[in-house]
Amino acid sequence: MKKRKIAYLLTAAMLTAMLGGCASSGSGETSGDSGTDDASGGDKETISLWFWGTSDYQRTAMDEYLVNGFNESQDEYQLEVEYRSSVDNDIAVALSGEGGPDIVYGSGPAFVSGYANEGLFVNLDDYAEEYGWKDRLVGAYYDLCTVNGSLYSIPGAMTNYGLFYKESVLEENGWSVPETYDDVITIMDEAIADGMYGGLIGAKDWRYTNEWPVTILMTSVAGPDTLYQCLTGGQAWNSDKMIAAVDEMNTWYQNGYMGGEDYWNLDANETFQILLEGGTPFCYAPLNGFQWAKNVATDESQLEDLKFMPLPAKDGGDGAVSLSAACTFSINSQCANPDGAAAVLDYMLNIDFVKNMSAEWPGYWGLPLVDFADVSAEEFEGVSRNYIETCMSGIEALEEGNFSYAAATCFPANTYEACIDIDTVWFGEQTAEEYLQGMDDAYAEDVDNGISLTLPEPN
Amino acid sequence: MRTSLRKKAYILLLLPALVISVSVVLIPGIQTIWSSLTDWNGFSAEKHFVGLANYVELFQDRYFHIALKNNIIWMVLFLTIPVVVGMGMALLLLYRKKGRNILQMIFLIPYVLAPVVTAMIFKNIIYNPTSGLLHFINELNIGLDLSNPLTNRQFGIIAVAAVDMWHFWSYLMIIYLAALRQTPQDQLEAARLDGASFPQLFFHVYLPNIKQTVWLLSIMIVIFSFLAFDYVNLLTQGGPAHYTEVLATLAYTSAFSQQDLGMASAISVVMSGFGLIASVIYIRLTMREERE
Repeated sequence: MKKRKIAYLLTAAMLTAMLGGCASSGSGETSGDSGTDDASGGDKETISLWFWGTSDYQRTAMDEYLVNGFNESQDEYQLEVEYRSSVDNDIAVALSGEGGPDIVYGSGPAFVSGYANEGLFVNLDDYAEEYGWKDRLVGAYYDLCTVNGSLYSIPGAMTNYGLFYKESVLEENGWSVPETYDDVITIMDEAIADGMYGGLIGAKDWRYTNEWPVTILMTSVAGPDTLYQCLTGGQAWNSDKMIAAVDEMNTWYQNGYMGGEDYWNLDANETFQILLEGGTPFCYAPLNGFQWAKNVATDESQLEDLKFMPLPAKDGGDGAVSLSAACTFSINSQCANPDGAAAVLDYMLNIDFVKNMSAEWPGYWGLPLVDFADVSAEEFEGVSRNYIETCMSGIEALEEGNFSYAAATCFPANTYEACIDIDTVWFGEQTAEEYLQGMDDAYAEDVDNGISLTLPEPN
Repeated sequence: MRTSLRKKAYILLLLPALVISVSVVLIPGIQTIWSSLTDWNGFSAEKHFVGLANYVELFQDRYFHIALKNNIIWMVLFLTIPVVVGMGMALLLLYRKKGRNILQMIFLIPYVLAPVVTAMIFKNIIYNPTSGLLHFINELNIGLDLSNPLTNRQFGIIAVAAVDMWHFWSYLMIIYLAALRQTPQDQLEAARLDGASFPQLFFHVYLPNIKQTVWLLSIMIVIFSFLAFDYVNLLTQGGPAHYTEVLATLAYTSAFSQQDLGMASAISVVMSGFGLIASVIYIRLTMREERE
């Protein structure tokens, strides 16, 4: 009898534990007050957002300027941000199960189009009209976020791709800031001869870093027009200009312009540490480089002369900025309060928010806003000032139509995956022609699947 | 009456396991097979039946052949190195009464480390020629110029597997040791009285007694080899140039990067096929032994 009682108790305990396990949800840490009846949230409706796992200073900025800033700016909604290290996969899985957060963080406009076509995201046209987003966003980015003519996301920060340098390092070695493509090559050759790295890219932790040289050199060598034609079906990828670009990428890899074998042995933070210590004249990266430099700087003064420029065009002329968004934000069609979610997006599309975030977290929050024209870089200090200046010049280039296309943002899914195989050319597994044929095949597959991304045309 | 009650009790006791098996194994399994015959992208409400098109495309994909070859290399490595090392260490510990428990605990440390920690150790401290052990060796100027093995065409997959083997061998050792300790003492004493040497003891007394355990673990190794993912994804993500691609990373890329759940399901079905073959072999061997 006693044994039976114990058995019942154990069974009950096990069931309770199992049900308890079922009740727990999510794998991340949360900022913001949860629930509609929370003490500090009052009767506010909760709006959820999943974001990637940030470092401490980044999270502090997010909490202060996004979460608290939004929650204190109105009394209807309560924004709750959940930090998840596997946010991309979590969102993909949640969306396929018709779940997920109210505001969907996405990896870029190419990510959005598939979900938008399936009706998983809210059409934002009415909100854009109500809040005047079309007038506030740079035209090229607004267009990029449309799917079949309707807005389905707002862009995160501009992440132009190019080269980072430190004026003091160039000066110490007797170099001036490069003005042409040939200047860049000359400096890299001399640096290698001096025992330095010619240039650096760090792909240790992320093979998809391969998209950086693809974006930078396709833009510089083949040019924005060629890329536009390839991405809109106007010409094949396997063309003379693109072959020249891929051959140039191979030359860069073999010559050690991207760190040689250390391309695979260093990560982004480490490459910027070497740049700050004067071990290389250049780091090639998207604008996020400012945040990586901040991550590893031992002293703010190390960052004061950190500058960015697009790689000049190989056949002469200025480099084009890459049309690229660090991320996108969309509204889940399952969201119970789309008006509240739109209010959060509207809050982000505000120059004061961008300024506050960029002051604390340079490199990730330079949203492509028209209002950048009214910003004074003098308001900022150190690396944030350099970042803001870079954003301002980027906006100018965009307005002039001098832009190209970043792989992560503008290439459809299969084409993007095929472009990552550039390392097969570096390792002699494929020729440039075979690699580009792979991109043609992948692009044809994307066309079959229905590409609906709107690409603005460069001037 | 009593038999009927007993039958009901059996069914009642089996029910929880059955419900769990059906809901988390059978139904998703059938769904995966069905998805592999469609062009499902993972989030669309529609799935179009495409027959065996995904399988045809898969078998024509050269990266699939690289991945399959790497999984087979992985299996061969795991069926030899950790098995031999684990068995050898188990035999040494079997005869070492003093300190055996402490040594077991020490050897088990790699097994209890989180894969991400193990991967970080190898990636940044052991394999890294810019700051790790390889860098130290290169700095000694003894004529060795070692580069990162993870980026090597021939040895990349072996370097990744080595990390997993470092993590896994002690698990085998513990199981082998537990099995070896069950060997009947009378058989051992009889063999010793007959003057059996240590190799004779091992091959004629210990091994026949732990044969079932060795078989079971070998079958499990075959199954796990075709499911290998963690360390490949943490160390190389299948690169560079697909040198370390395995079936699981290929499926992962199809599912999450290319949004092609149909293809990812086809790869998963192929992976499961190898596990199934291993399971069938094991069951047939067990049944044969039972008959004998």
